[in-house]
Amino acid sequence: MIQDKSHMDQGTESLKQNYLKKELYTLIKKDDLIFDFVQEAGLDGLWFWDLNNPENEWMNAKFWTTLGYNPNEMPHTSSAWQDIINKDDLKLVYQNFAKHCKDPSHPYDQVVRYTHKHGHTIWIQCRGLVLRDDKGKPRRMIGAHTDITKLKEVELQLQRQVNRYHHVIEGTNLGTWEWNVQTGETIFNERWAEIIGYKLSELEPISINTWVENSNPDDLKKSNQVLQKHFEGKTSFYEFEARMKHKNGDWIWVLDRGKVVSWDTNGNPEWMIGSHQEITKKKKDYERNRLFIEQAPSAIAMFDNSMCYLAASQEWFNVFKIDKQEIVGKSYYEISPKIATKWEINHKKCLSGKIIKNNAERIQNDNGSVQWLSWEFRPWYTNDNKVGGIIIHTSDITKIKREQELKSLLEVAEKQNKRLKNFAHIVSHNLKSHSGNFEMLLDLFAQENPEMQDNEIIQLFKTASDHLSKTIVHLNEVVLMNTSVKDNLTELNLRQAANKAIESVLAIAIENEVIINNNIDPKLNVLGVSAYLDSILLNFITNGIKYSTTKRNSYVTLSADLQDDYVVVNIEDNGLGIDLKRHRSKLFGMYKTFHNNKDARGIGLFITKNQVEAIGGKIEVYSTVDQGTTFKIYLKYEKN
Amino acid sequence: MKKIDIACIIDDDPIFIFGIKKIMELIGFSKSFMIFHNGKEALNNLKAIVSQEEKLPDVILLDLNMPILDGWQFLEEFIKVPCKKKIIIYIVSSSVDPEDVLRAESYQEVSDYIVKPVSVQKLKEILNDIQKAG
Repeated sequence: MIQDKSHMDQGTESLKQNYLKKELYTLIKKDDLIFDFVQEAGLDGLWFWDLNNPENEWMNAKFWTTLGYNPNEMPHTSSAWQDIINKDDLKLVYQNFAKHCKDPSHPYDQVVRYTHKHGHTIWIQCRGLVLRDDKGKPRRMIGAHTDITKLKEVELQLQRQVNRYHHVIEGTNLGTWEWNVQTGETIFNERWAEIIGYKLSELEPISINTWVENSNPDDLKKSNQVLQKHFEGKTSFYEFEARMKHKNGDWIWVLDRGKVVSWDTNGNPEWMIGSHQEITKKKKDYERNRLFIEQAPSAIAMFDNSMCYLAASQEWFNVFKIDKQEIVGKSYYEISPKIATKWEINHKKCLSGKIIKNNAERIQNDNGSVQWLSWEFRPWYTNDNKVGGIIIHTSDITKIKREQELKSLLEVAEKQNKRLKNFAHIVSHNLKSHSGNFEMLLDLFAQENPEMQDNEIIQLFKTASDHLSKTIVHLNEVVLMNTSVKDNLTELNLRQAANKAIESVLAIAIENEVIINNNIDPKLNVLGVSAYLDSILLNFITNGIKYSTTKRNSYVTLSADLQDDYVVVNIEDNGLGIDLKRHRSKLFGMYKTFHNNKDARGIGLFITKNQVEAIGGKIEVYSTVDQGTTFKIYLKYEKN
Repeated sequence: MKKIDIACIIDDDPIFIFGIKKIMELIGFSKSFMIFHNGKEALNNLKAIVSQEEKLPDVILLDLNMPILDGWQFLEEFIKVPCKKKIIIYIVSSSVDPEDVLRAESYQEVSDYIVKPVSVQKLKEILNDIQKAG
């Protein structure tokens, strides 16, 4: 279209070069038909205006048909179109007209709205040229209309889409970024800056360094690796959770996502567009979960939906025998390939939303050991109610299993013990009656047949009968030993108990020329059973006397001292001593004697040890052959 | 010195009865014996004697472990029988179970608890005690 002089000059220049143009221009001058065709087919309206008589304006037929009117019914007056043009746009038209009249270089060119006969809006690009007389005064004006309604509609639609896009970004509170990978040129939206507490203006000048400087250096390194993968085409988009420094000094978390949108001719990424979403709260929730799981006293681990570790408890490491290491982010299949593969089907079921349990599963480990596990797989859900991964909770019930076995064994043992006790009771009682009869009959026989007193067989008979009776007495003592007396111990004075024991052995002490010293503090009290304490002391003192030596002046000395919760009674002699290297393990066994002493009966220490243990004590022994023995008896101390 | 008229032995063990009788005769423990082989037999007979006002024994040596009616059961029943005569009861048993000893002590009718075997010496002491008390 004829717009300004410069354009026209170019036109005239080109005329010289093209014969067809030249011919067309000539034809237009000669033949009206050509011009009619041009104005009807090429334009959506043509007008020619008399500026000396402004009411007179000629408009071609297309001018009116474009606006929905019948050209035959429309007058050739300027008021005709002024009635249907948008009033605001009319002002613009006048303004431009005035400027164009004053200064021909100011273009008369604007988009105006007309109201179509049917009421809708027609967008018209209206261009015009003032024709002047010799003095440069405006005389006529020629104008052309182009209907751009369709274009305008597309533009409006586009505008609406852009608005919608803006709303989406605002609504989701997304920070956006655009980055020229090659030049570093970067554009952020206001929200991008707001996430880290700034106004965009405060961060100027904006470049990719604005991101670099405000991010956690460690995260930045990882982020670059992830980015590189995307650049290499290994990932369809870039996604990374990174920490950024907020203006207030806190670290906040953003989910950074983006995608390369243009590539240069060499195939290198050029522009990249992405978003920032603040996920600090989500991260903190996750962090809390992670801490909770790590501290849990049972074996718990949390996985994402590709079975990579999110967290695991210490116990988890123990149960699955995983070496201490950072496992977050690593695949379950990588850390525990055997069991992971075994449970693969369960993982899949669980990831589809099922809860799976097993109360006891037998697991054969690589080293051949057997482990019993109870476990539960549970899916966990994200905020939008999708399975985010699974939580596995397991307990190593190997111990419990073993305890169950032990318990049943114990029950058997208890029953057997009971039977044994019963049996021992009956045997000892019956044996005792019979051996009693033997003794009695022998006694009677001796009374009736005094001449048989020296008969060797009768003598041996009597010895055998005595031994039988004694054995049965010991057996009885063992059977009657009550190990459940621990709960009802009474307070006993140690020195008095010792004195009592010493008194009763005084006769044999004198006979064996053994001096007995009682150095026990009169104030010391112990917890025990009177009969047991007497028996214990008696046994040890007798022991000391029995195994005294004739090589030196013999003694048995009793003393006591306090050790923590115990009163330790020391019974020391300077007698024969015991070869502990050889006999320690058998010292307190039943029927063990270590000397050829004629009175040695080997039951004493066995009974004594059991009695000491029954009242919550213990015995230690120190001895050197031919120097003497010291028994240390630990008894429960009664403070008051 | 009181002479014991009848000594009663309640025991299921024939050897013991043979022996104790022999010893008793040997030391002249009593003029005559009354022997029962279990608690039931002893109780029935003694009850009959009481009701017919015949001569009751002066001393009873009672075993514990017996069939039908054991020593304890006999004792429970016998102390309920109204009887004017004071009978000295000894428990003579093989049992050394402290529980038995304690139980025996709980009966005031029981003079002592003697653990078998009973030797000539032991029986002499018992005889002494009885005569002294008498």
